Amino acid sequence: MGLYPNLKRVVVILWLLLLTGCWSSNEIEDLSVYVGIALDKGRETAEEQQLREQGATDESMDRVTATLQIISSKSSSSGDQSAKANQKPFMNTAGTGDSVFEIFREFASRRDLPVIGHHMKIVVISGGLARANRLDDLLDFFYRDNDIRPSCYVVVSRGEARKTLETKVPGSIPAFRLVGMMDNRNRTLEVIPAVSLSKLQGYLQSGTSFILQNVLSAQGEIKFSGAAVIKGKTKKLIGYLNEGELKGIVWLKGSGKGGLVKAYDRDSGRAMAYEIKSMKSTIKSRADGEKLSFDVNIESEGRLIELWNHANLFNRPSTKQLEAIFEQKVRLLIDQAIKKMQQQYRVDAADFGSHVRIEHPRLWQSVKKDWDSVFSQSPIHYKVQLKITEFGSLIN
Amino acid sequence: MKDENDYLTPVQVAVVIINTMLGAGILTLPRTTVNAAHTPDVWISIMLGGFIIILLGMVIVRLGLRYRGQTFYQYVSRITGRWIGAFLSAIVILYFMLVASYEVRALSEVTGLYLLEGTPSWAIIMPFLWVGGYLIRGGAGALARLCEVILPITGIIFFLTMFLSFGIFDIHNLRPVLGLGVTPVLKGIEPAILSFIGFETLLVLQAFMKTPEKAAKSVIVGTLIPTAFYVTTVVMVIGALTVDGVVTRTWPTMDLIRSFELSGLIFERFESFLLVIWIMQIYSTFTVTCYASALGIAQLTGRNLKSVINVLLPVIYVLSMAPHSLKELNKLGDVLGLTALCLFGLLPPLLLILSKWKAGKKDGIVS
Amino acid sequence: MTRGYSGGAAGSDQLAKSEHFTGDMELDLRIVGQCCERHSDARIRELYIGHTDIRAAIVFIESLSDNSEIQNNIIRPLMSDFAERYEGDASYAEGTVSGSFLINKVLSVSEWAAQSRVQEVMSAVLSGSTALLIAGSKEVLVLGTVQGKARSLEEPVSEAVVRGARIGFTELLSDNIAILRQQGICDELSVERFLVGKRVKKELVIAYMEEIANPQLVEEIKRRIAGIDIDMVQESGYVEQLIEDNYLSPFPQLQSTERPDRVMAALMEGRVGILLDGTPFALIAPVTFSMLLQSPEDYAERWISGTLFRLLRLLAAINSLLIPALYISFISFHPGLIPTKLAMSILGTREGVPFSSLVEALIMEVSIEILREAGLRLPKPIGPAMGIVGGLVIGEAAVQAGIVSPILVIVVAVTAISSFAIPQYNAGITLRMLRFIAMFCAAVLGLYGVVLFFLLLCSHMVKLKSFGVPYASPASSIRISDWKDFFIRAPIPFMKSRPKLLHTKNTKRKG
Repeated sequence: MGLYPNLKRVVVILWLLLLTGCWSSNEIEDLSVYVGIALDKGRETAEEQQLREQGATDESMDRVTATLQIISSKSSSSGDQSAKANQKPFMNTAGTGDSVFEIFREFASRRDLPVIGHHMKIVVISGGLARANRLDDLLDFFYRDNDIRPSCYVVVSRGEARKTLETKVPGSIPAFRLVGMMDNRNRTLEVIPAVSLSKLQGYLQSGTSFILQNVLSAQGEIKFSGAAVIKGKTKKLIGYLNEGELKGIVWLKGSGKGGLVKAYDRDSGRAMAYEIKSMKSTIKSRADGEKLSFDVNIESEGRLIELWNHANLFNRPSTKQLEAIFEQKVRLLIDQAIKKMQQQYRVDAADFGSHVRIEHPRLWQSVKKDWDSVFSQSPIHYKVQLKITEFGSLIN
Repeated sequence: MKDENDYLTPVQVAVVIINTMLGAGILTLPRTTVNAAHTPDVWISIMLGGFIIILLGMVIVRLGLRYRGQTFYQYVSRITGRWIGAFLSAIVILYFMLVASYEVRALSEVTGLYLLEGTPSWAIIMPFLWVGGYLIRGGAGALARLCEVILPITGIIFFLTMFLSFGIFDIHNLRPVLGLGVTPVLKGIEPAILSFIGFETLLVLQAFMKTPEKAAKSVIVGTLIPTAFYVTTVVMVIGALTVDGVVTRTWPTMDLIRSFELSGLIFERFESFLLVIWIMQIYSTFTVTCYASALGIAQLTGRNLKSVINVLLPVIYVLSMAPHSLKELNKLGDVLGLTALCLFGLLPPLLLILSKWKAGKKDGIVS
Repeated sequence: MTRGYSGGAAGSDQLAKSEHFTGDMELDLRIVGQCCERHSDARIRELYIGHTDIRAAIVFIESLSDNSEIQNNIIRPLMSDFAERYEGDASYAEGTVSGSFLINKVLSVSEWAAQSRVQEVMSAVLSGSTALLIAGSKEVLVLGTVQGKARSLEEPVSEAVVRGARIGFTELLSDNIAILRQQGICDELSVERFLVGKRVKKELVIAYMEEIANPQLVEEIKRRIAGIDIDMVQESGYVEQLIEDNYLSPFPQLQSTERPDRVMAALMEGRVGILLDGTPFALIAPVTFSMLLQSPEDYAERWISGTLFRLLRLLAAINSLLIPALYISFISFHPGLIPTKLAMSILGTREGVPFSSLVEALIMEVSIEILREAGLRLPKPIGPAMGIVGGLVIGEAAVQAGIVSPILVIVVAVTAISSFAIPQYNAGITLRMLRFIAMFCAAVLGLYGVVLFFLLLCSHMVKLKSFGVPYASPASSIRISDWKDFFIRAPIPFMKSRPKLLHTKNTKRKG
């Protein structure tokens, strides 16, 4: 093998590459990293109004206002602590338009550092926007864009979505706080399994109805509370579940990781609490011709963690009684949930459809098109069995 | 100097087949199969597809055994006569060339989308072609050794990343098994088979074996391992993204890896790993097919392999730039797959029968 | 300086022609004197033998010979009273003595030779022997009084081990062969001698196991050694570069080692050792990539720790090669492929750094290389101080000044430490060199460039052969038996066969 032809080729190629090279290179500090985004109904922000008054043209119909939460790089630098404490580690900036992508690119004419979405963690959609627009339309850009990862989570805010991206705690980043709160499923039943963009895609494509976590905000404080119900057929938000109803659905699906059941003693009216250690539900669909019904068997084990009943020490309810009280409470939650799903919203928000799909695949083919209405007519029988297996560090 | 180390061992042949099979398909397979079958049962289709491929591969092995130490290009004209042989060789050469350029183009599409947005595709493809050309000059031995180096790397990283996606895996998405009967499964076989394209390199490779009898084992191993890769991919992707979610994604396997983050590990996100091994696999597929076609040209025209490579690489570059859009590229992929199926599903049995018949006739005359 | 001894002297044509000693003392002394003109350390001592009037002279190089031996075993017996000591033996009586008498009865020197050619005698003298000229005899006695200047056996500096033999090769070939033979009694160990170099000849031996090594391999090595055509072979590095397969490759294609146990282990695998006089570095051929990450200790320690060390070294090699390149590609191309928290902290620390990540990394890497090179040349006591100063300046101050980011300092430090963990010095150099190419690739095409670089490297390695053995093996050969001694070091009872790639005559190591 000749030495020189090879060398020449190497030199030519290196030369070409170095001459023209580094097309895609963009140093990380020259980018604005946004970690969260809030979508609200279109309403121009004050800055935008002023900009427009000075002559910035904008032909859009202002359907959507997108608020980006951008990490400000100075926050995380190892500067001195006092300056750091006073500074917010993030900044929110908003744009309005009728194409999400247009709004994003608008920032190129408003900020020196281009925004990149690789690290976007969460999308908060305001309830009003979701009611008026199909979710697949709203999120289309996020699915197509190659920066944004499908691992990004989606939640709904009943109020203004941008408010959920604010905080009063110095040094904390609200988008991360939201994501962090989703990890608390072993502590409470109010947090449902996080829905990522990719999971959402499955729901949207298959046309099933589903629920998204609802987040409330007040003066920089936020709380996961209940859920928003998205109807599979219209892909729009049709209503909310309150916390009790959401818990009912969690019990039905047996999807809770941990949490508690609070009930009141019938006689004294004092509070008592049951900490869930495990929760399991087996859903069986029964097809009787075209008629479908569901049998749900819910079992849970847990510990008695709190009992306000030290006054009448000798007349405590027995374990059996306690279990019955808690079971009663759970049944109440489930009843509420079923009622809301089957009678008010008339959608299957608890994924009963997939049981039919798995257990009666042929039947499913015929009912899946109109599943929500079939579901709302299918009776659901359920049994709840709670078992108190321990009493914490106390003997009973 | 053809010493011991320049012959291909059966293991090496198996490894080359595996590496050739694992190519662009691994990123798109869940979509193409689910699109055809519309059930989560496509993993059965893939297994069946693998089985069919083993049968097809066996025919090629039998054929190659009749002409030891000869490549397809050399023995085909002995079976069919000079002109038909040259024609068939030319088709096979063209096929390999198109596969090579298809793989290269797929590489530039994915790299341009996920790694180097804004870099012109020539800048992605040209260094790749050059590096590939450098390897091909080393001949079949070097190719096989390269495949042996990157296969373990690919295997370990692939199964590791797939295992990590277990967090978003939901077995319900894969159920029910055979809920809609066998028909959808059969429908899924065709796209499944397309992803097994690569066994045809045996037409060339068997000539380099010291013990071509063992090629049959190589085919079996060489098909079973890609089957394992594919089944894992499809199961994990459908398990996480659901049947309905898969069909809309251009590169579903990429989306699977992009759909989870594991904080606490050093790398929270793992698509870079998948991309790295995928580029390696494209590289091996490209070099093997490119070598197969270059060797064909060299043997057909009697020219030096190295000078053929010098001409071939620019041609492949031009071919790879021909499709105007991703849609056209996908179409090219489908067409290539079908061609391969016709070409290597039908041709070798025909040739085998013809060759046996000829031999029989000869024997008849002698006796 | 190294020209022939007989020619070139001005003045006496007669002398210039004389090739043989004449037996005429005057004339012989003049020949010798002329030859020694340019060797100021040559000594000519005239004497009368054994209280007779037979003239004699001894010639030796003071710096090369064992002076006390000359004094005690040559001069003293020669000058003793022969008549008294060797009564009745009259062989010296007739005005001359025979050489055999001196050798048999007088001189207590073990090595001797009789020689009449001037050139032969002089070259023997120049290698440390003593020549004894006796009046009336054309034969000159060459007496072995060589005192090689060798250092004592020491522990090899460049390949220290915690557990294992402490002995290393020295500069003296005869010692080295002795050390090799001392590894164990073995009649299979073949040691074949060659002379290499055109003007300055040096001894070179190849060692191999007669019953194990592939004869084709031995032949090939002999052929290549015979092809060496150079003035002088200074160090085994010359041999290495003259017989290697591909001089363009960045990889060492022969392994050089100071450790006899390493050579012996290689011989037992069927490889060939090449030892050169004057250097403690022996060569082993053929070499494969995996050998560069192995240390004799792997076998001395138990197999679990041995395996773990190997994996650790593999990790270190990958680190040393790729980490700065990956840093560049992630920072400048793929901020989306690194964890969010990490991206945020890098974002903060890179704020205000005036250079692109490539330039930043180059500055630091080059500084480290300079520091290392400087530390190598410094006298031992200053070395560590230098390290501290360099570390402080490069690490602390550069960050403080905002020239580089702290993350990069970590990257560079990890890279540097990793490159020290490679047991073979020259393999370490290779990786360090390639690291810079990887960095440029990363700066042009990001992660894709790094992958391409890796593929190019692999392609090169699988094409490269060291004496017919693929360099990348056993990585490039999925053979269970060879993989037992690759990244993992299988328990010794399981390592039953020799590396298959070497195609050894005898494949069983055990059992």
